[in-house]
Amino acid sequence: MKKFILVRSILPVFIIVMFLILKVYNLSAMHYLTLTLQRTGMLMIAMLAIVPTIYSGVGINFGITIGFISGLIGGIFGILTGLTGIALMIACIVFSIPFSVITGYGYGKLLNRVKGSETLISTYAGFAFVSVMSMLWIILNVNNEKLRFSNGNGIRISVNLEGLFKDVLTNWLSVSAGELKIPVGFLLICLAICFLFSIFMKTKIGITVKMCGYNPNYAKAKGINVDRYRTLTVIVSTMLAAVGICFYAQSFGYYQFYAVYMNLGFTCAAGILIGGATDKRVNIYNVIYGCAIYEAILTLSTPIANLLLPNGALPEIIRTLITNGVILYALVKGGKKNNE
Amino acid sequence: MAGIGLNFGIVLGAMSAQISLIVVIASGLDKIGVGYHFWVMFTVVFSIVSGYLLALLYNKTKKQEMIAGLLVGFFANGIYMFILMVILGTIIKLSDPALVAMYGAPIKMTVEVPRNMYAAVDNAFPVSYYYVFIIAYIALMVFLVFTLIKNIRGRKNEILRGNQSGIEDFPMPPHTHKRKCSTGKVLNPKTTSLVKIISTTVKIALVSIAFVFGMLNNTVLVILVKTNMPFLTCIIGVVFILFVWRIMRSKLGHDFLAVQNDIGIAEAAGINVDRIRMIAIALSTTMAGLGQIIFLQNLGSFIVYQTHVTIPTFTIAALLLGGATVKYASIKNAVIGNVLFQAIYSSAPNAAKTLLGNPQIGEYFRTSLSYGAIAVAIVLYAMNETKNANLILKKTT
Repeated sequence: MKKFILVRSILPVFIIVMFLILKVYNLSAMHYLTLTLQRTGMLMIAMLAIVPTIYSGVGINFGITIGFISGLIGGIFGILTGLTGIALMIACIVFSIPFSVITGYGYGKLLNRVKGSETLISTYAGFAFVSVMSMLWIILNVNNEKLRFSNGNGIRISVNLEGLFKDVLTNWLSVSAGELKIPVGFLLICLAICFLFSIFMKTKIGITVKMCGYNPNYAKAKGINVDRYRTLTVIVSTMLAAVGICFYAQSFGYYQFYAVYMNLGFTCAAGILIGGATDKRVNIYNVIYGCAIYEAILTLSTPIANLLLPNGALPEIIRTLITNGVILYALVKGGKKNNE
Repeated sequence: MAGIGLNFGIVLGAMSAQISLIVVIASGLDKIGVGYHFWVMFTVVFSIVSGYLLALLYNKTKKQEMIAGLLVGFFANGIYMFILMVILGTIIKLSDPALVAMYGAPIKMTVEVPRNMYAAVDNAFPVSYYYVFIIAYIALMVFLVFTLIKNIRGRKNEILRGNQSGIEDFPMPPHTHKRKCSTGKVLNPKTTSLVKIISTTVKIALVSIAFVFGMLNNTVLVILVKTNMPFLTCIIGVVFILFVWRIMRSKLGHDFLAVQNDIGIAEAAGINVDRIRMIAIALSTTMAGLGQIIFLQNLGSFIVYQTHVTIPTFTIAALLLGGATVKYASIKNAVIGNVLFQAIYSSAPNAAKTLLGNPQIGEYFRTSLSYGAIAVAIVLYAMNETKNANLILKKTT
């Protein structure tokens, strides 16, 4: 445990060192700090989507890609309404919720049938869902210039949200000081959603869910329908993922279709694992802390890596190594516990 | 096999083959004519080393091997890119024009297999399909006639015995006896032997008709004579199949099966479980590497950062299409699955183009087919496991 605390405190020190390096090389550190803050908000809701299933004992839900896709369906309907700005964003979220509830319900039922190997199943369910939906995207006919391929049928690979709802939240209540621009409103909304979620976990339903996670047999003996609560958390998780993809697109400026989001689930899982969560235990601070640290490492390491080696692919390599390395580490640790 | 489940880590083998090829080209070995020897050698060495590391990880994540393998694949991809992009660019400078890219990147996006090595295995013993066809026909005929004679003799025996009982027992020749025992069915020997004779005759007739038709039809004949069969590739394939078949029937293969069935019991029986698993994984990785060599020499060139990524998904999907499950797979599954999968793989874009007017649907169809096949197989397996666990729980309480 001591070692673990050490690991946790190393990361902030590492980030401060990176800042100093940026200062020394006269790169605009403030610009990268702004980016970090923006991206923290961008991924926070998507990372939060992993949390409910850990609470209920389902484990790390790599299948939140299903939620992302539901969010995309909602996004299509939202854009077709012709609204713009904040109204469109709310519309997208509202439209995506029914889809995510439906897919989440089916997906939750599936996960209840396969207790014990949810991690693998969720990964492949996500992959299969994404590739099946790719077929749908290409035959879908929409009468909208922004969504359609310029030469005919099918949805664009990336739909530009410029002039729709790009940066509406990021610019809301943002404070600028020189080069530093803090998206106060955006971060406040993200934190508010996180804390709303943690309040939800303190209600009667939330505590029941936690009990299902800690000891399913005890919960069963108490007369709790464990499967029902597991399905509930999967639905909540899928819903949060759908909302998360709206936030993600808002910051990123694009809705991306086809296989782009296939591995985003791993990114989110790595984020909360860096924040100190395990596949059995998590709290809301893991999400906030992990999200900030993960984004900070990636954003700040990019210019430094480019300084050392003028090679465009290095940040991508670092991202792959960190993301998958962290998840592997968590798996090995979980495996050790199982063997004991 | 060996109870690990589907080994998503075979991507390591594929990577080994690609790195080895790059090493071979970079060191100029291909120009002296020993390219293949070194390619195979490096591949085996690299894949055994990576298989060993993979096994260390798998032994630490027992029961989670499949997800661990998947992630190792991604992780190893990162390391692979790191080696190729960073180390190659800074520490080792490449000078071979076959590898160096135009615009400062350390290595080309697409590396070509050297001209003297391209399709060398495929073209090593060019045998016209014409001869293959004739030889196959003769072999088949000999086999069928032999069966026919055996069937007739068996029927004579039965008639001589007077056919008193409905059950076939000891006076039968040993091979027939064994076969009857394994099916364990009570059959009327009179009808079965008659049916056998008739079916064999029909088979002979059909094969002969096909042969005569092929010989008389001009277009078929031209195709047969003009096309060459990749003879050596087929031979290598058969050798590999026999190799696996032999291993599964040796002491090692039985150890694999024991570990697969129950780790606890295997350990109690004195099998070093971790070691057996290690051997199985190293074997799997090495075979993947050698398979990638055959694949690459046929393809002629490969995209450095992409070709290996889809290998585990496609191979595993093919295996599952051939009727394997997560726990049980056989050589037959692999062969049938491979043929089926390649048929779908090559026909999907065209089929989609004619049916729906868009070749891209076929493209997505085959990816979703492979992912779907894997997902369904894993789900079925996990459902079964959960059911068994529940049964045990009920029995104990």
